[in-house]
Amino acid sequence: MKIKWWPWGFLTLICLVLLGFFVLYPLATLFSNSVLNDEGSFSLQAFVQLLQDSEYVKAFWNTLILGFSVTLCTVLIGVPFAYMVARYEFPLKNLVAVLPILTIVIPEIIVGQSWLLVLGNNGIVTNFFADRGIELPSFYGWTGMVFSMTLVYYTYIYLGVLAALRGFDGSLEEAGLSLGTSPLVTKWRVLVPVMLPAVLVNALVVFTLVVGNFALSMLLGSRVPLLSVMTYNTFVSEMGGSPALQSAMSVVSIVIVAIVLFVQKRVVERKIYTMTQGRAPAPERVKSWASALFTSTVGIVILASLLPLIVVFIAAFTATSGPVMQWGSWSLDSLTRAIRHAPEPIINSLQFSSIATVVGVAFAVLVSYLTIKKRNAATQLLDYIVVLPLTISGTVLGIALVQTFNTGWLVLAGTSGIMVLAYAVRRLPFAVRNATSTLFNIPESIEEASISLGVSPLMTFFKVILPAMKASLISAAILMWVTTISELSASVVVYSGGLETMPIAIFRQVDGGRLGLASAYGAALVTVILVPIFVSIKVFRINLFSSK
Amino acid sequence: MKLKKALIQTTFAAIGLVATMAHAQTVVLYSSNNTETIETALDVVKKSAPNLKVQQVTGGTGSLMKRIQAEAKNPRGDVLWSGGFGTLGAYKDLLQPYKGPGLESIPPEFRGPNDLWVGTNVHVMVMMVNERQLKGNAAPKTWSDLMKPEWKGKFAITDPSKSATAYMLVYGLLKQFGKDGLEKIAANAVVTSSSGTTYKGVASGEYAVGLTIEYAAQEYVAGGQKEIKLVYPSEGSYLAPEGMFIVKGAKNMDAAKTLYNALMSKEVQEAELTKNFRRPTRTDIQVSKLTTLPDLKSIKIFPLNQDAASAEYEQLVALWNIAVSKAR
Repeated sequence: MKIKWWPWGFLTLICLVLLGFFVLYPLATLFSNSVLNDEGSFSLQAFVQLLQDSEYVKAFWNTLILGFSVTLCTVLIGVPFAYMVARYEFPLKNLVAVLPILTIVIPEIIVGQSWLLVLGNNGIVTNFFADRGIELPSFYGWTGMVFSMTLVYYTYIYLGVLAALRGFDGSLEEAGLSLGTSPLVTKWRVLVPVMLPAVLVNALVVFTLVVGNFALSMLLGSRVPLLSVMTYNTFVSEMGGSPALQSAMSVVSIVIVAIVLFVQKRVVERKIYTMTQGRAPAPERVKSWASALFTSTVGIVILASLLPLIVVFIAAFTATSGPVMQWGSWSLDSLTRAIRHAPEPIINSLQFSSIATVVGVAFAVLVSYLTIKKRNAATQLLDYIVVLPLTISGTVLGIALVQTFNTGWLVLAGTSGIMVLAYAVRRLPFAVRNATSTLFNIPESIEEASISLGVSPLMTFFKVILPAMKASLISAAILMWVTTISELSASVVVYSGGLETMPIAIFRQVDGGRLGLASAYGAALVTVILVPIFVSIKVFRINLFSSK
Repeated sequence: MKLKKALIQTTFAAIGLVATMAHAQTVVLYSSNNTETIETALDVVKKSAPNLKVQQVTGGTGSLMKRIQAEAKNPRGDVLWSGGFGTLGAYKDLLQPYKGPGLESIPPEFRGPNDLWVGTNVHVMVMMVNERQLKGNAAPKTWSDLMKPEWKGKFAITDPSKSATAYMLVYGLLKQFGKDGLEKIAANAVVTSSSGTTYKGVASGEYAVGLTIEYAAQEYVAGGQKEIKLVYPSEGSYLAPEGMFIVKGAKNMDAAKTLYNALMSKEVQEAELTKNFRRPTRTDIQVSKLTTLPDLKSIKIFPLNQDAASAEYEQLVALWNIAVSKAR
């Protein structure tokens, strides 16, 4: 393929340089730090130290086990749920439309904290039963982590499978039935191949999210050693940790995700079936007993997803005495204190995520345009590099950025630049995926028509392509904005004085045992997120989670 | 005429504004304390030094010290509050000697060599007990009680390599009971990765007993959690004073001194005691009068040499790690 240098080749080069500097270079620094000892010469000492540390080896296995069990649970919940919603009509069904919004908008740190308030060893429900002589099992450790992570991540499976089912050609199933195959066998043989790629792709996403999960692991993990928590603890150790050890730990978690990503890609690529014409069968109305069952299932799931919000708002108004919550007596103290201190973190959060969103979405549009409409060898490379951040958990990304931009000619550590960078890099793959999906649907002929009318390629991009992408750009921007505004794992590593964001403020309060104050911050954060989302959905009439 | 008067008034107002702005001093405080502790102090400081604008950078003492080290050529922080004496000893070149007014009321054991640092408050290491989780068993009275097999897995201790206070506690146990005693404790303990996990864990009933800092435990008692009790081991408790210092070459040296003096003042130390149960280092504050905590004099203390403790850091952590892995 011949590369046309102006303008696309030139822009590709710029993108490659930027990604090289802000994604590849930090990763390379991390890898090289992991094999350098204090004197700066090559040494595998850090890895040997990890191998000999029984606690670390345990954390390694625990992380894998947790990853697989949460992924399994999300599949077990997400798939039937999607099937139910795609195929059946029942009362309250439209409620499920808010599910993805709930799980994505409520920051994980708030989810973890509110489950602790309810089911923790000193939680409301736990104490209620304890007072009646019933000991609930401890929520800390495996139970709590699998439970809360499943509840947070199953939407990924649900949305993916739902999209696959909606694009599914109903006549296939009819064909199967008319050939005399029994309905169950037909469903199995026809539906499974369609859903499988969706399940596998999103299961991988869930797996990587679990491996990199920080907020829930940190809050609920306690006696279960996990990689993400250990890596963070080594980084913030009161005595100051060794960079080689931090890097070695980071490298291990990158490798885990990279391996899973590779395996998944091999498996999924062989299994993708393209539907020529997708006419999904109309949803059936279910019988009355089934409708009661379906509605109550949906109700329970919604309630469980919504509970963190309710708890946080109640706790924000509950009186506290130091770290102890005085349930039942109300007070505005936590809220007043939060409001007195919140302006700075709120402004920071808004600022950083808005800049990151603008930068990220603009970059994503350019990259996806180049990789889809102007394919050549260089853009293919671009395509690969852009998904790299998927393999890096937030904590690891943070450590890589701090280690790289702490010294040298570009010092970003300690400035707001590093916060924006962390946000932008972390969410880049998602923004690109979002932009890419609409570009596929824009026919080449439109562009060709414009160019043949004498409009330059660049102007065509701005005048024809961008307007066509508008709707998906807005939804991509909103998603990026929401996810960065509740981002914790990378920012808690790179932040410094004056750069505190809301999730960090909440994390620090939870860490210090101040659940009441943390809830007040949480209530403020959720309001800050929800109001603009609600307004933009109403104003732009955006379907945030369209199945495409 | 009226206009002229108004003009003059505005001008003066503007000058006044500029003057106060110029008068406001900024100081960058590095602190490992929690928000409430910092807030308590700064609320009092606001009264004594209304023009002092304090910017905060918070984090663990270790990471803050690494930061000060990295910034040594171009210091971005002015005052650090606070770190264990042992930790500070390792960074002597980075500290600015300073002797503020009124330091006579601080006993010499709570002051750093050559006035490099000073103790703002002192931690007492205690056993925090959750009586509900004891399930009818008697609470431990001594450190050696916890070495008995029946305590296996029932009490928490923080990894000494992760927390400066936990380090002093483990150091104390080693000095008092030798390697053998330390191994017995390690064999029975659940090791947590931060001091917060230990006391929060006891408060929430995850562990029956936690070896932790007095003030942290006392907050739950004061908050009305009736099942929480503090036990001062009859064999003697350990002290871990917390130090504050001015960063060498601090950009805002005058403001740094103002903050330093304010934080050492009787008012701040009293506020920290009554609100957050931080034991003052000043001798002119009587703890038992202001709180339900006992006076330091009435607690049996096993004396530790803070400097020696920091010198033996590597050996102790290694010893502890061996003891822990033996138990696994």
